[in-house]
Order: sequence, then C-alpha cells, then structure tokens
Amino acid sequence: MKIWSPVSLAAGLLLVIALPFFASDYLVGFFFSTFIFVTLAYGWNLISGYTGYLSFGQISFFGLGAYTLSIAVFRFHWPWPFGVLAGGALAAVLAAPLGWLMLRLRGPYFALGMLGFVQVLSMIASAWSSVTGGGEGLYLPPTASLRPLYYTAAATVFIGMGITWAIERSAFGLRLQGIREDELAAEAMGVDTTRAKMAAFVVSAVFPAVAGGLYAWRLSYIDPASAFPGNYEIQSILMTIFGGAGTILGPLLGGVALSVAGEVIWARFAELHLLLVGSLIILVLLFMPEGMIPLIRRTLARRRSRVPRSPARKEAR
Amino acid sequence: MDFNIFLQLVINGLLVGGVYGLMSLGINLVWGVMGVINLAHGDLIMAAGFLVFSLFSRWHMNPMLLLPVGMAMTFLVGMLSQRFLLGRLPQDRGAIKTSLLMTFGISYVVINTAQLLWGNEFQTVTFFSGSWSLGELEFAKARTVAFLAASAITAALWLFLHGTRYGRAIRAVSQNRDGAAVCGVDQGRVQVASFGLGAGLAGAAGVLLVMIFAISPAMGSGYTIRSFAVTVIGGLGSFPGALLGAMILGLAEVFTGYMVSAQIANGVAFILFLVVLLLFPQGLSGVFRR
Repeated sequence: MKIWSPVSLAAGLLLVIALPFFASDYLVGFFFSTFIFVTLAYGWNLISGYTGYLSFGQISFFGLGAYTLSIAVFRFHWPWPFGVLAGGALAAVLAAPLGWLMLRLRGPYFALGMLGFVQVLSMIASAWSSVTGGGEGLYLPPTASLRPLYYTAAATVFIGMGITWAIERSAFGLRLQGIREDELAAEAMGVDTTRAKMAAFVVSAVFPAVAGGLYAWRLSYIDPASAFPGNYEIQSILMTIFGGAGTILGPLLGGVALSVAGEVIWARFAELHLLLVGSLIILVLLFMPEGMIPLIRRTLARRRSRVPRSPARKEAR
Repeated sequence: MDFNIFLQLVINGLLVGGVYGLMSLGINLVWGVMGVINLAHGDLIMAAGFLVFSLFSRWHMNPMLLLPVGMAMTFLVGMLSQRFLLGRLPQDRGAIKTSLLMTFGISYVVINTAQLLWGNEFQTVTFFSGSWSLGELEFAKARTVAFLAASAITAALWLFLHGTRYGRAIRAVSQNRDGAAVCGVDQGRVQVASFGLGAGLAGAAGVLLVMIFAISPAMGSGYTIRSFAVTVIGGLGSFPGALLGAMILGLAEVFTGYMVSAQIANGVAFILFLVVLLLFPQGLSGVFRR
C-alpha cells in the first residue's frame, strides 16, 4: 500500500465535497477551523520544514490577512473573496522586503526576529485606530452562510498540498532542502540561496494571510488579540512536527489528527489547552522528532518488502 | 523639551535599564554556553513576578525578602528543563532548531501554568510607593530599589563567573567547548547549571519588574525579545556590552513612551534589534573592540 494514490486522493476530495450535504453545521464549522489550521501548517512547513528557518512569527501574516479582509469589507464594502485575495497579495508584497531583511539572520536571530515582528504588527494594529479600529476592533456584517467559507478553506488546503507536492518534486525544493541541511554547502554548490529562501518565505506568507482572511470573515469581528493569536502559531507548529515537518502530507495528517483529538479530548480541559499543546511539542521532539509520516512510510515499506526478520541480527547480538 | 523633564526621563530609563541588564544576562549566559535562546525566558520572568505577587498579597512581606524565592523557583524549573528535556535531545546538526522548538513548547507550558495558578489579570506589587527627590528630580522608590538590587545581583554574577571554579568552568565552555572538555570540564553539568542560572536571573528580574510595572502571564514573549535585543545590541558574552545595551533600550523605551506613546514603546526593542543587526552584526561591543 502507498500513502499516495489517485484513489485515496479522489476519495478524500469526494468526502470533503460531500460533507456539507449530510453533516451538521457544527461539524462543517469544525472542519472549517481544521482547514484553517492545516493551511497555517502548510505555510510553516515551507519555510521551517523544508527550508529550515524556524519561524515563530508566521501568525503576523495571519493577522495581516485578517485585517486586510476586515478593512476591505468594512471600509470599502468589497465582497469577501476579494478581501481574502487582497490579504494574500499584500502578504506576498510585504514578505519580499521583510524576507530580504530577516533571512540574512540565522537560527535564533531569525526566530526571535519573527517573534518580534508579530509584536510590531499587533502594536500597529492597536495604535492605528482610525483604520484598524484599535483595541475596540472592527465588527463585520455577520456571515450568512458557512458553506462557501468551508469550500474556500478546503480549496486552500488542496492548493497548499499541491504547491508543497510540486515544490518537493522540483529543483527548487531540492535547493530549499539543501539550505536546510547545510546552507554554506548549498551556496558553495552554486545555489542562489538568498533567492530560494526569499521565494520560500513569500509563498509561506501567503498561506497564513489567506487563512487569516477566512478566519476573520467567519468570526465577523477582529481586534489585535484575535488577529494575532499566539496559540494558533504554536498549534500549527505542533501539527506540522507531529505529522512530519518537511513532508507533503505531514501538515494535513497532523492537523486533522490533532484537531479531532482536540475536539474530542481537550475541549473538556479548555483551561489546560496551551499546557497540553506545549507538552505535546516537548513529547514529539523527544520521542518522535521526525513525525508520523516517516514512521508510517517506514512501516509500510517494511511490510511491502516482506523480508522476514533477519536471523543474522539475532546472532549478532 | 524642558531640561528637567529630559533629565527625569534619563533617570527613569537608566533605572529600568539596570533591570533589563540583569534579565538579558540570563539569556546571554545560556546562549554563550549552549548556543540556544531560551524562548521561555520572558515567561519565567512573568512566573516569578506572579509568584512573588501572590506571596506578597497574602503576607504583605517586603518583596525584596521574596526575591530568593522567585529566583529559586525559576532556577529549579530551568535546571529540570535542561536535565530532563533539552539535555536529552540528540546533539546533531539540527540541535539548535530542536532546542529552540522545545523551549517554545516549554514557554507555553509556563504561560498556561501561570494562568492556572494566578489568573490572567494584570498585577503589580505596590510596596515601595512614592519617590525620593533630589532637587527637582524624582527617584521613584520602586525603580531605585529595583535598580540597586539588579546591580548587586549583576555584580555577584560577575564575581561568580570570574572568581569561582564553577564560574570559570561556565565561561570556559562558552569560549571553547572542546577545549573545556579536554581540560576536564563536565559539559553536561555546566549546561544544567548555566541553564538554571539563566532562568534564575530571569526570576530575579521578574521579581524586580513586578514592583515597577503591571504584568500579565501573556506578556512573556515581549520580555524574551527585550532580553534578546539587549544581548544583540551589547554583543554576545560581554558584560559591559549587556549593560550598555540595557541602558540604551531602557532610555529608548522611556523616551518613546513619553514622546510618542506607551504602545509604540513596546516595539522599540525589535526596531533596535534589527537596526543593530543590520549595521553592526557583532553588536556594539564588537565596534569598540575593533
């Protein structure tokens, strides 16, 4: 059995399309927020999973997308899909100069720099109240229907998967992984690392921005605290490393598995939510640093090869 | 600007800068020894502040007497995290990334624990109220006491690092890991000790900060960034650099807060951090050394 097959892909797609026809509003809403997390996870996976630049600030683009949509709808009366697209475009435009600045920093410098960038954006959102509504926030017209949002979020996830798949198979993907493994060596081999990193950063900024726009429209309210939710950042990181950072299916698997687990188990311990997420990150790093996907792949490969447990090994002991 | 107001702002900035120096030395130490930033640093600052707040509101003791309690708590948390969590990560090429991720996880555990124990409100310890005046200038008592305590702890840390065998072992590891190992320094123990010490300094800073400002459990990452910014401004491993960086940050925040707004002042650390990194990648002390 392979993880990847046209059959499983088609079945998944069909299930996602059919779900709103038989499921309750509660379930559709649950999958909508799952897709938001998975989209965030795909964004993080590109810059941190593939390129190896640990970012603790992708949520800044989430907030940017959320505010772009809110302002476009609230002040300019745009239809919401344009607001979402504008958020994605703005994130790409902002990420290019930001990446040029930040990506020359490595390791802790980059990580802390992005963490600081979230604070700066959320500070701007609070201070620039004539546009953003400041601390009081903006109230959007309440959303009539959940279905279009659900399908848009699902499409975003599929696009995220598709882009990750295309990148993994391309020379560009190899360049990114080269940077992750040894940036100096990649540069010595003739990779234009600055360009590759910047491209990855720009693409990885668009996903959270789109997710933020959808989220704001669903919430129909935005203020600095809800636009830059730190717990979304840590949850999407956990989902990615749980599923497998730097893999195509990792964010999807991790996102869905942890969202379901969260809804079934953690919802009863809402007060302990961050504690559980933090502890899970620690546990994954200690006991399953590669994540689920490599584990599954290895198990399947072992089963397929059908090599009996070699007696030689036993003797060697 | 009135000259007296100017002097007053300088005093306020320098007094806060003393506490910033102390908190940044914690991050500086851990970074030097392990090459890792403890992203839970600011959250430990908050946790110690809240611990002392809760003890203070029960017994109304002088918070300076509670300082060792706050330090001991974070020291213990830091030591245990290094011994049982960070120390167990594989030391391969990705070690810095996994350690960073793990401290990020720890930071949320600390935040949530603090929220469970002490709630999510802004709190402050009002024990030293009022101020001493010198001519037209006011020295707020809380800030002055915090500054003096921070200076004393900083001096004690300097003496420890330069005067004792243990301190010299820590400095040796941060200067040259392999060289120190060859000379018989037990790296694992040094790492546990310095991570604990770094966290303990965070705790001390937290106790002093809660006397000056109102804090809330969610504010930790702001202080992690401040500590890191100070270290970057001053240059890694440099005591005078750290103090200079802390004074610069303290002054910049106070002046921005007065001239623009307190909200904007929170972003000053990030701006300084970026500007210094782009202009002087070695930190300011690197400029003077040249």
